[in-house]
Amino acid sequence: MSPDAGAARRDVQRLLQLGLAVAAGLMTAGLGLALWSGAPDVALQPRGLVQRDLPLPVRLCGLGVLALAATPALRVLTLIVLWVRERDWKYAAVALGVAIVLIADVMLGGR
Amino acid sequence: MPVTPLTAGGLVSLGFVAGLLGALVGVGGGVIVVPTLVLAFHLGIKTAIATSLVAVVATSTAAGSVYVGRGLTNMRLAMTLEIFTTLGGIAGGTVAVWISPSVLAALFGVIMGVTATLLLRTNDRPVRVAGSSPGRPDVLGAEFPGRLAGTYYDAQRGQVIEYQAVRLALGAGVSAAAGVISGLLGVGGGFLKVPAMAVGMNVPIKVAAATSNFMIGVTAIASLFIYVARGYLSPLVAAPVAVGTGLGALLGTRWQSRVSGRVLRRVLSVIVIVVGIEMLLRAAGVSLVP
Repeated sequence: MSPDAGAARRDVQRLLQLGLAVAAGLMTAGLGLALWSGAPDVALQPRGLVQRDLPLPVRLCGLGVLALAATPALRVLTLIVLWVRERDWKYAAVALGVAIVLIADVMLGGR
Repeated sequence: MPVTPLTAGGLVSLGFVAGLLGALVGVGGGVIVVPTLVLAFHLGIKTAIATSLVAVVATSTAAGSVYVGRGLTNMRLAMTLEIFTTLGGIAGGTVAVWISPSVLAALFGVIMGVTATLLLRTNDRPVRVAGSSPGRPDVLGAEFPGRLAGTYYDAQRGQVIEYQAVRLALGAGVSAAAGVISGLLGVGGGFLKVPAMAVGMNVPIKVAAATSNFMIGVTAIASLFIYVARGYLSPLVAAPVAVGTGLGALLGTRWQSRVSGRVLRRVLSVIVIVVGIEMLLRAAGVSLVP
C-alpha cells in the first residue's frame, strides 16, 4: 500500500467539500435575491452567464450550477496528478481517458 | 415557472428527500426528482431531466465528500468504470434531446419498474473476501495502487475486509448501459451499477454504493452539458433542488448506519412503482393526477 493513498483521499475530499460550499453559497445567494426581487426565471444558454441582460439572481444560480458541475471534472484532474505522483501510471492513464472524453464532450456537445 | 417562497420551499424539500434517499439507498435521486417536477410542478420533462442531472451531481459531490473520507469509495474502480458511463451518458443525452416527451415519459415508467424490481432483489449478502483481519472503527479503508482492490472496515463483522474486484467486462457493459439511461432520463444509474458491482464484480455492497455514488457526478455532467447547450436548464429551478439535495445527501451519510436499508428499499420501491404507473399513463395521454 502506498503511503500517499490516505493523502490522495484527503485531497479529493477537500476538493469536493470546497466545490460544494462554493456552489451552495452562490445558489443560495441567487435564490435569496430572486425571492427578494422577484426576478423571472430564464433557461440558461451556454454563453448565458456572460450576457449582460441576464438577471443577477439567474446569473448567480447559473454560476452555482457551473461551480457544482466543475467539481467532479476537477476531481478527475486532481486524481491524474495524485496518481502520477504515486507512479500509478495505469490509473493515471485511465483518469486521463475520462478527462479526454469530458473535454471532447464540452467541445463537441453543443453542436 | 415563477419562483415564489412556496415553490422554492417545495423544490428545496424535493431535493432534500432525493438527496437523503440517494445517500441512504444508493438509488432514488433522479427517480424521485424527474416525475415530481413533471407531475407536481408541471415542468417539461427535458427541463426536469436537466434539473435532475444537477441534483445527481449535488448528491455525488456531497455524499462523495464523506464516503471518500471514510475510505469506502474505490476511486480506481470508479475511474475505470467512468470511462464507460461517461461515453454512455453522452450517447444518452444526445439521443434524448431529439426524442418526444411522451416517449421519454414512457421510458421513464419502464425504467422505474426495473428500478423497483432491482431494489427489492438487492440484498446485503457478503462477498467472497480476499482476506480479513481484526480492525477498529477508526481505521479507514484504502486502495491498492495498480489494482482494482482495497480494504474497508466492516462494522457488523468488526473486521477490516480485503476485496478484489473481478469481471471488469461485466462492470464496463453495465456502466455503459447505466450511462445511456442517465443521459436519457436524468437518473444516476445506481440501480444498475450497485447490483452489478455487488453481485457480479464481488465488490462489498457498501463499497459498491459509495463507488457508484462517486461515479454518477462525472456521468451526469457529461449529459448535462448537452441539455444546457439546448436551453433546457432553468437555474432558478435547478438551484433550490441542488441545495436541498446537497443537504439531504450530507444528512443521509450520517444516518446510513442507523437506518435499515431493507425497509428503505421496500418503501422506495412502492413509491417508484406508483409514480412509474403515473408516468406510463401520462405518456398514453391519461393522468390520475390533476
